[in-house]
Amino acid sequence: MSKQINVALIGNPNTGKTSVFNALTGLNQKVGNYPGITVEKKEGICKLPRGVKAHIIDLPGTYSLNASSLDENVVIELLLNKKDKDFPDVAVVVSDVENLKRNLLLFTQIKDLEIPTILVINMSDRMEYKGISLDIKYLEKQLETKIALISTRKNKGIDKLKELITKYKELSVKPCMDASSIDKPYFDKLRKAFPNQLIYKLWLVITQDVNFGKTNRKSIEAAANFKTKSKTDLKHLQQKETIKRYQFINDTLKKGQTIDLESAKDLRIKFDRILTHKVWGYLIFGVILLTIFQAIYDWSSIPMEFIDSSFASLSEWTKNTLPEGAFTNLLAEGIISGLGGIVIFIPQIAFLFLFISILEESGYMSRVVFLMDRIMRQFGLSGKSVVPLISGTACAIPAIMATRNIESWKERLITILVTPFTTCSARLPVYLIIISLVIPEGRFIGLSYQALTLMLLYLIGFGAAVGSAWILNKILKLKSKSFFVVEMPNYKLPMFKNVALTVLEKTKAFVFGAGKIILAISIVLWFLASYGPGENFNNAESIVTEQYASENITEEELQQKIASHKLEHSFIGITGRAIEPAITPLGYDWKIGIAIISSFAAREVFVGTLATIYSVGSDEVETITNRMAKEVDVKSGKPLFNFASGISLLLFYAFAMQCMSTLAIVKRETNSWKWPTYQLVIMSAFAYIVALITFQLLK
Amino acid sequence: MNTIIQNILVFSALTLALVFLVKKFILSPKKKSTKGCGTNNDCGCH
Repeated sequence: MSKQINVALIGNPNTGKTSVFNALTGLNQKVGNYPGITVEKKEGICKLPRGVKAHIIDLPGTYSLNASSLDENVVIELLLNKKDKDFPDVAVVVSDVENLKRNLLLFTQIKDLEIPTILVINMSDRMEYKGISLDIKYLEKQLETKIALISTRKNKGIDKLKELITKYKELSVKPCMDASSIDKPYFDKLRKAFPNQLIYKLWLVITQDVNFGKTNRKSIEAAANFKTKSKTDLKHLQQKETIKRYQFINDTLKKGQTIDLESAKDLRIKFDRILTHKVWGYLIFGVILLTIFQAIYDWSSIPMEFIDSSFASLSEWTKNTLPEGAFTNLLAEGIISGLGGIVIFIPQIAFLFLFISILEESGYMSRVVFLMDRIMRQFGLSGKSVVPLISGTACAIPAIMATRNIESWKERLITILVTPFTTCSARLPVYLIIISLVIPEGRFIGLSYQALTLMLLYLIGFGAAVGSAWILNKILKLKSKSFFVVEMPNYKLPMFKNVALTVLEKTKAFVFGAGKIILAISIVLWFLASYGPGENFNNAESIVTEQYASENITEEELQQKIASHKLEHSFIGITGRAIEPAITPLGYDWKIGIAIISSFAAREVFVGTLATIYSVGSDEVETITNRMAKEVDVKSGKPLFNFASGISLLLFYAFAMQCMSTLAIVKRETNSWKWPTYQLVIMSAFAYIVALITFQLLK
Repeated sequence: MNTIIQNILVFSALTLALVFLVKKFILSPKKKSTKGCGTNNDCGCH
């Protein structure tokens, strides 16, 4: 049996930690589907020499072991709990060659925990460019560790790192500095009170609300022979500790690192000056957004058409090949049509994540956060709220969890409440299908009206988020202080492997996450649309045949009338009719009403629901778009999806809180049902009113 | 015979679908750990 060891990847944000993780694990990784940010942890398996397997845990980025947010606590809790099943046999601290001084602060703290630690110095390919040279042997000696000088971009040094991990038992666990020297008498007392505990662990527990094993802060405070200090004194000692560590790091780097500023060639300042400029910055960002939306439309049209027609053919093939009966109909009309409604959006979702990933990888996203901070402040939010709002374009759930690093409770609460307005990827299928039905295909200065509409919807979502934040800032009477610090990483050419893995992981999460729900809902909906109570449903054939006996209609038309009659009197038809009075003023019929209700589980279910409802009883091979385009309003005889009802529907989905999972996560993050209830009621009411006004004005 | 088998399959699929949806939206939100999605690839957001 091969041996497995736990390896924790730890490091400051933007040191290329995720690239190291990808280089070590490749596709053998399980990743939480939180776009953009590592909120919890990623795990993967790396095969090492001599049959050793490494279980790699990618921990959230942290600047030090002095936690200021919930995410940073994850790192400390793992490193302090020896009994945790993920407790590392070896810690790999990833640093960036250009920010070694700052990165080493965390390294020295981890070394003091007496865990075997390897120092990875990443981005070595930039050393020459930046005029940096390192004396690795000297650094290894001073830091009591082994160093792997690597470049994930050039795929250099990874084998050396694997070798060091394999030989982790040879690593020294000696601390590189004595933290207790900041207050000898105090640390001596602590040592006497808890003789069997590691002194630096105790210090971390005292200064933070972190538990490890049976010893926690309260038990230390309760110890009879030890009196802890006041919070102010502890803070003062923490500052002293940090200064001492930096003195040690400075001394080490004075000999171990040389930087020749004259040979450094840096375009970064020039780029930053333009990209964060108060006019050009916004203009460039606007152009980038326009390009992204246009590309999403242009590049995905061919694969989308292919997927749509493939599912229509598959449905037809199933009907023709399998024996006639209820299950064959369920497969052809329910499951295949429902799934087709989600698979069709894979190209667009993949392109969206491709662009987001490129922007993040290149370092541009941090500039956007910096730019947006200026706007955010006008609305009572800080730049830190931008990260959740941008993450929200993928999914509101990770975005809401990303608010954990906002220190101010008021700002955090406001961000949680407004984030669901941001256009998430689940809204995308709804937008795309409605836009394709009601917005003409023409172009304006090379940009299609459809792409412009989509971009406008994203801006409306963002506008609604900041607008409601402004209102909440005025209403909520909560006092809090806030500050905003953002690190500007260096500009980099995005790494293909990282981009590809992100696109794959996000698309997979979207398809499989949504796919299971859509599959289940499609089955239930098909059942409700194919069965019904009473005479009207059971005797549909005779009723309709009798009704049209005197009229000269073809057999095909008669079958369509029967199918339509059955659907109207099925379980779903009866439910739909019951809610119709509430949605008719918005320009919708009962079928759209059913789709809106079922999409409360997840917004993208809307398309799958309509695809299933329109397929039931139909023998024609039709794509989803064509089926929806053919729907006619019974009263007016006009297409059901017209400009007025389409725009009304788009705005309804832009503002409505149509996501049960988001409500559950808001409850969890706010620890109360009060906020998700407000969110649901206010957003739904607002969406209804806006959709109503829009339809009544445009019809 | 074919009709009976097809009906059994339909009702089995319906039961499985209902059980899945109840578990997903009624039972699981209460059981979720405080750590969130963690390593699970399906956070239930879709």
